[in-house]
Amino acid sequence: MMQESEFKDLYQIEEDRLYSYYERIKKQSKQKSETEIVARFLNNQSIGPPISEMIDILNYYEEKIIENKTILDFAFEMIRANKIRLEYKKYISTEQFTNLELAIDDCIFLFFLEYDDFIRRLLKPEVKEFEVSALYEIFLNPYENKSPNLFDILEKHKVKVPTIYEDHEKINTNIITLRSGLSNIIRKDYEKVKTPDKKLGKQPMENYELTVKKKEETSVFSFQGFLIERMLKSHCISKNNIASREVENAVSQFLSSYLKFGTIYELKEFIDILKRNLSEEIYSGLTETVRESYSLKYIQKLISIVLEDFVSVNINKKLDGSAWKDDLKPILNKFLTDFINNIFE
Amino acid sequence: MEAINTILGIFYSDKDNLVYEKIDYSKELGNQKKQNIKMLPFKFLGPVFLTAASEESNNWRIEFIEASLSLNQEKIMDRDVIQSFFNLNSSMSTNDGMTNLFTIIGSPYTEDVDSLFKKLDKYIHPSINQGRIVKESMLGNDFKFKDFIIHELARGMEMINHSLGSSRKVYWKEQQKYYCIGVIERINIQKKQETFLYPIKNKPALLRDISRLIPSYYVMSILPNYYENLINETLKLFDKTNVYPNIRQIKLRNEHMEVIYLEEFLKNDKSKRSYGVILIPEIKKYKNGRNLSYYKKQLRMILDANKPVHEIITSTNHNLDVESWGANTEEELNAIKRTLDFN
Repeated sequence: MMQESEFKDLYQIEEDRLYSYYERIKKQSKQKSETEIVARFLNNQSIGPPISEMIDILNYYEEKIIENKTILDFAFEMIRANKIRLEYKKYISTEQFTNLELAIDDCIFLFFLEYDDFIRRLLKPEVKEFEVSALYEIFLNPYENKSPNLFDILEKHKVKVPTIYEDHEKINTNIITLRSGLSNIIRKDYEKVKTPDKKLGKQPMENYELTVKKKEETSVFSFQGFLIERMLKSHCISKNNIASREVENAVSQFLSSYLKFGTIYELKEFIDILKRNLSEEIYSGLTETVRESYSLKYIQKLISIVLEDFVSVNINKKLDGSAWKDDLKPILNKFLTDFINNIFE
Repeated sequence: MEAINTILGIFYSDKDNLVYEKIDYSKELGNQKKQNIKMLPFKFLGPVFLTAASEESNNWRIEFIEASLSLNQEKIMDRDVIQSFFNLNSSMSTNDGMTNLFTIIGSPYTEDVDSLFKKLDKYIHPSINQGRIVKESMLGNDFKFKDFIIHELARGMEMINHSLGSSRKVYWKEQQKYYCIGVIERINIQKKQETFLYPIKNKPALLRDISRLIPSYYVMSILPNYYENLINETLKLFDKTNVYPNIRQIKLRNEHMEVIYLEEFLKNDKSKRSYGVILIPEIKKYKNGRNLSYYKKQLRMILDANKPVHEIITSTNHNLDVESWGANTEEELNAIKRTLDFN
């Protein structure tokens, strides 16, 4: 791996200039805390989310930084991350990839593997992997349209990225963490640069921009089940009865978020994603008390068992998205109804 | 790059030496050839297991094997020619044991081997090992390793394939000096192969010391023939009969040491002569090391200027034995093992 100085040379930021700018802001904000000043400093550099979210982020990660580093060092690395992002975006827009997975692997290898080694030197060794994974999303996600909530991001990564110990020693799973943190970001960038080439041809620029925007808004890469999550959350808190129609709607929304009419899918290409996303949605809808009885792993197991027969019969089939939806709906409706009915048993 | 022009295979051996493979080959190959291709991982990994598993050899692993390819004169018109053939192996020691990720690559271009190895060793192999740990922890008994590894090997292969075709880059590296601890002479006259070893002089103290720095003279004597024949067999299996291989470099490594075997050859109508040097990085004890190009030049001098091998041996290292040791029969190899290998 690269030396720290080599890495800093490769992705240079003007630390002296930035530091004097930070000092100027500090002088102007005498009543403010250091995190507030750093948040303002970053905001003025157009780095990261709006100030209020930025303060949450800085407060949270301040405790994860090693002793001889400060929150300002952390802020500098956020600026450096943007520099890397620029280089990476140039690369992904010119390189020809045969598929998305290759784009993710190649970009992580070329741009972020060394960065991971570098950024971990700033963090305490006991930092959890989901916190590193979330950090990548915070550092490298473009905040174009929406403000992220730190705790939503952390929750999302918590269920996906385990920290594994063997004999009290943390096992290195940095590449898996990198993939978790960066896959969605790379996927979005990949879609942005690949879609116009393949499908839009020589459309007028105005239409082209509109279409790309529309595509970005509607593009889906995993099953999203906000209705399932909401339904379970409300059931866990109020213990109200759930109407079968509500379950059907939630399942339908979950399946439609991925499976599209007019697109052919092979079961094996999405079944693992479906199982994983469904269990994550269910798990994120449960309250802490209920989670004591239902671990994510246990929910995953339940879903695997329920889908076992369906998978063994259909694994090699290729069907239209709407056909898969029709086939999967009754199974998932029944599963979810049973799950809700037994949740407090 | 069309897959059909290249040879590309990737094998993973887990801690129990179970081997999983992904090899690209043309659908037009016959069934027998396809069956034989499936045996290649075991043949290529054989010596890797041998050197890694033996406690005696202090976990030596083969990291790089390169063969130059020469065109068979009679098949010169064929356009489907590959120019380079090499194997890269990444070995990793885990808490449960050793895992290997091994590749065979034949390409129409001179590939950037360093960058490919980095990809293999720093990304593809660790991501397999880490992915396994994470999936096992999340899925428990539902985790199906076979499905996982098939997907990961395909993923790794895509990554390697994506890098193929970029020319070899010259990296800035400090010139490492090497000390020669043996010469291997391989002569092939009318399909009869003879191999001779010129080791360090038979001085027990010196040999005992050297034994700690190389896998063994026995292993080093076997490797060039073994891999050259295997690469030849591989080329034939992939219908690349217009070229034949000549071992150029074999790199072995353990936790602390590196050994390089560097070879040059000369072929005429009836015979092929190859000379190789066994090199270790210069250390305090063994000074007067030279860089690789020096040894390459010396080897070319034996072949092109037809200089007597003894002359080169003494000028390279005065501690080398000018008397050769046969390395052809089991008996001869056992004699090498008995007398020269002290580990």
